[in-house]
Amino acid sequence: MENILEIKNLCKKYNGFELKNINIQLPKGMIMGLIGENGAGKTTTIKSILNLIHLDSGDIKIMNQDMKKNNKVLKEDIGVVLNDSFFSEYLNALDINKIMQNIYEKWDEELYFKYLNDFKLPKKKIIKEYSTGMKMKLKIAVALAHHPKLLILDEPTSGLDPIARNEILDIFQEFIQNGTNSIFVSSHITSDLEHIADYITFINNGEIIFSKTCDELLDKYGLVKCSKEEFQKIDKKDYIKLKKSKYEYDILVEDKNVFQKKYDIKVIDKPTLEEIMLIYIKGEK
Amino acid sequence: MKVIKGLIIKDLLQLKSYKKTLFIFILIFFLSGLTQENINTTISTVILMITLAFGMFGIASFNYDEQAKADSYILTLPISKKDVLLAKYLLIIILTIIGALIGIILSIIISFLLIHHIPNILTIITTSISYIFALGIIESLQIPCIYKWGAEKGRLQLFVIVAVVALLLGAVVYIIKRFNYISQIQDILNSTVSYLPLLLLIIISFIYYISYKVSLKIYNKKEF
Repeated sequence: MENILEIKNLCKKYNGFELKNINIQLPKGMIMGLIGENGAGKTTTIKSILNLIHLDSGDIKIMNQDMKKNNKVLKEDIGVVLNDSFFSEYLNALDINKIMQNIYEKWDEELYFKYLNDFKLPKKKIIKEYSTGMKMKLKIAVALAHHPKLLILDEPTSGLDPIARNEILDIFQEFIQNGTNSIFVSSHITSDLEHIADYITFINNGEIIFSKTCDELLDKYGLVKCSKEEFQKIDKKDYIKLKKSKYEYDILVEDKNVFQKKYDIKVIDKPTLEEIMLIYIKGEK
Repeated sequence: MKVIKGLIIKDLLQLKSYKKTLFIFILIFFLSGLTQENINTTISTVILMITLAFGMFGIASFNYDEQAKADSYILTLPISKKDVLLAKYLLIIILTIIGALIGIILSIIISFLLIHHIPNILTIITTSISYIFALGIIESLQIPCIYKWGAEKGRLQLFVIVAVVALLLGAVVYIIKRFNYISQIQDILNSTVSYLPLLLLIIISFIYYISYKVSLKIYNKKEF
């Protein structure tokens, strides 16, 4: 399958934080969710892809072209939503249309106004007076209105209520309907990604812990709940990490069927992404 | 070029809330100009203040960008760092020139109303260009400071730089006086007076260019 986004051996060092050898491949037509706690390196990874920071080493390719060399051309085909950065809040949706007409070659005014109407966004109200959900919807409308092939989104659902989050997730799913559009989205709200993502990449402390299909993670991984006595019979190499609580141990295993056969444990739950993330970060070996 | 136009439109739209203030400012200077007795001082003050107001109006666009962290977002669009800087310099230069032109027009109107004829137009133009020159120097220092330290923090650094420049100029004036170079300087000025405006424009264009290059160096190193 052809990749729309390829990150190879990306390294970036800051004082007190480091992105270590990041490798990510996003196939065309897919949605990849980048998960991790705050400060894990999600935004730094996104900023690296977008050329907003200087890399220490590594290559970023979008549609098989080097991002650094073809920055301007490639950005014509990318729609971006950053969580904490946009145009001044003293502008309104009509102003943004006037600006964007001059920025994107393929800016589609009709499509932009269609999104504004669909999202019920007032055109003349300044952004400052929008709610958090409306601001995000406006950013998404702007990101979609030039027919991009790849959407890169940094925490697009954070701070939104469940209704607004659902609406936004629907928009993303509609966007990839044509089979060739793709989305790379970071979020710490993992339940959102369970609904839409084909791939999940988990980053912790600047390192990729895994990059797998969502089905593999949710169907293959298992969450074993057992007592201390039962746990003592389990070989260390057969589980990823465990989380101890007062009465039971939560053990994360990579293949629940293999584990079940070996240890004859009847109940193995399907973990949620949140549980996987939590045990990886907070758990012990 | 189209993206630069887009960025300038963005800045002008951002500044639209200032429109009223600017209009009132112009009106006040126009009306106070009408009450002055010395026509030359009036012309000089009106041109200076309006040019200054427009220049500062342009500089204010940095505050809007900084508040919204707009630069990170702008650089995710098909826009290069060079485009961002070119748009900013062009905006500020164009606004400064517009300010001077409005100043010229108003001073002509004031002169007409007060003394019923237009004073030496060449003097008015020379005055305007010397103000564009002076303001251009401040802007050329201020813009790299803003890119280096930010619109808020950059102000303090600008004061320091202006103070240093003022001290250096003071030192030059002192040397000129101390060693009696005044007559030589006056000779030079007298011999260049006819093409002084042009000379000032060439020098300020060069200063803007150097300032742009310095800003570009700072901006290229910056991470967003």
